[in-house]
Amino acid sequence: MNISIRKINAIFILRLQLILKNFSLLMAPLMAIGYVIAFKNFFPSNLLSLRALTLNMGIILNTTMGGIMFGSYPIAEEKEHHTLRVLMTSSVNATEYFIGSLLPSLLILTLVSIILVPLSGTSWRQVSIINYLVITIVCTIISILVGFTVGIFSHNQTSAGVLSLLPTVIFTFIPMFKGFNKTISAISDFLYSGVIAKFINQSLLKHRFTWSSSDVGVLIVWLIIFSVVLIYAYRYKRFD
Amino acid sequence: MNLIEFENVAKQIKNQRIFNNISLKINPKEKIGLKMSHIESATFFDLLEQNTLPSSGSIINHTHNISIKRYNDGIYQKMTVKSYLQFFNHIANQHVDIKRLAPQFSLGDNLTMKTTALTTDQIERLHLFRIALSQPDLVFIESPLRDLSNEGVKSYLKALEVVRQKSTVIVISSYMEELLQLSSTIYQCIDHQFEKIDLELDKDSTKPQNVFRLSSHLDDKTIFFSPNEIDFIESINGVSNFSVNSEYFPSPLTMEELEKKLIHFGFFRCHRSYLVNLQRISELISYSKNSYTLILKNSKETLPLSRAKLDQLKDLLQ
Repeated sequence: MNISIRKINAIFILRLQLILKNFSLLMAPLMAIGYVIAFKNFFPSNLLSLRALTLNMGIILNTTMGGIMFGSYPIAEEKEHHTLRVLMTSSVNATEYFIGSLLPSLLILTLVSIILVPLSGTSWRQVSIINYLVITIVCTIISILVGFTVGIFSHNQTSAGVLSLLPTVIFTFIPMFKGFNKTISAISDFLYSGVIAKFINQSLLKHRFTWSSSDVGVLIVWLIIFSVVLIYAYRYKRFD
Repeated sequence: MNLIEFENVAKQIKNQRIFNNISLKINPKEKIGLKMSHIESATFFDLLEQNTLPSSGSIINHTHNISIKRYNDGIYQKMTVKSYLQFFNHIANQHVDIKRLAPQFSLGDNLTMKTTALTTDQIERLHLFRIALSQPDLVFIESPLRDLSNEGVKSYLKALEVVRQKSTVIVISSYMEELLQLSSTIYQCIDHQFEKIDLELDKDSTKPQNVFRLSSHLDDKTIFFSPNEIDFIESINGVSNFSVNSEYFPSPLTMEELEKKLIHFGFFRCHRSYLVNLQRISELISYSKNSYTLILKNSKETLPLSRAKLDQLKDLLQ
């Protein structure tokens, strides 16, 4: 399959424009920012555990909920307004469309993830920026792939909202509340978004995060799973 | 060389036959119109877009530069007309000067407008403009004039000529009037096969000939039908109704007036309340000694046949 950088670039610019004008789509990253600012101001404590909880929730909301929304809603919207068929019959192939749609979402969500750290009152000296970027970028990509799959099975934005509820709850809330229960904590360790919670907790509370083979494995396995699921979902459903 | 060739293409969906060995060759610069029902055109586009494979036969593309515009195709919202066109200009990599070309599509004043502010007429021309940017060899357009105003039709026809300078445009519609305005050769899908319609145009004459049409007034529009489009005419509560592709259209004429006008076009008064197009009759069924029913092609409708008319019909169908 031929991939044209020019077409990916054109779709990237179009998607970026449309995302920035879509307020309901921007709600997820704005909620993450608002949540971090509110928590920091309501509980102006220097307690590290509280700061870790705040940052955890902000980043997980942004990367998982935001990623799933950014992946699913635009596809559902295009189907609803019958614009996706126009694009796909204008010599754009599915790979170009997915890459061109993934990149602007990834850019916006990564920028928000970066500003969440100083907003939460955390110093970059406490968090390794390289590790932080690697984890948030990989997690955001996985969430967007989940969103694309949801978008393929959605007929419109309402059905995208309904279908994305289950993955959003699983990948957002389980890692968020891992501190409340041992079972939830154990499940969280096997979720890609659980790696974010583990990274923040270890960076802030233990002052050191070291990659374990299980962390790397969890991220790679989820990335492969959702890439394969997306490919099969597209082959089965296409953009009908 | 042909641009695309349909060779004995047959297609069945859920055991229902949609196409039965259709064959069609489309040459460059031909102005072909294809008259099809909704399900036939949906299947035709699915075959073109390779969303489905033919049950038998083959579609040979001699060009891969094909554009398709379906009836319900949408446009991106929350952007200007210019940025919408620029996007497709980048996709097509043609570097067309949008500002220079816009007046030819009657969109010169609309480039800075939001796409949401455009009228239906302008949106249809914007689609044409978008297609023109990719300069395809072959374009398939579905029912472009259906929702346009009279002024919109005029501007659309002008814009279509611009597209036709570089592309071959095929129009697909279920309305003959639309095809007559947009094409010079028309094929109608009858019995799941394409049949060329004789438009009876005298090429040597510069004066247009009279063409017999029946009209139906619906709201603020008048729809014209060629007699061969009508399956039968039924009188319901004293109003004559044309049945075209299972849809009913009221006529201002009485059954007697219609019978007089249509007798030369192969219509037969099979019952006090029915006039049937003889070409559409596929079966004559006798359920009892004095009860006869006519079954029509491609239709679930059955028409009663008066016993007194039976011999007359048999003579006509011989």
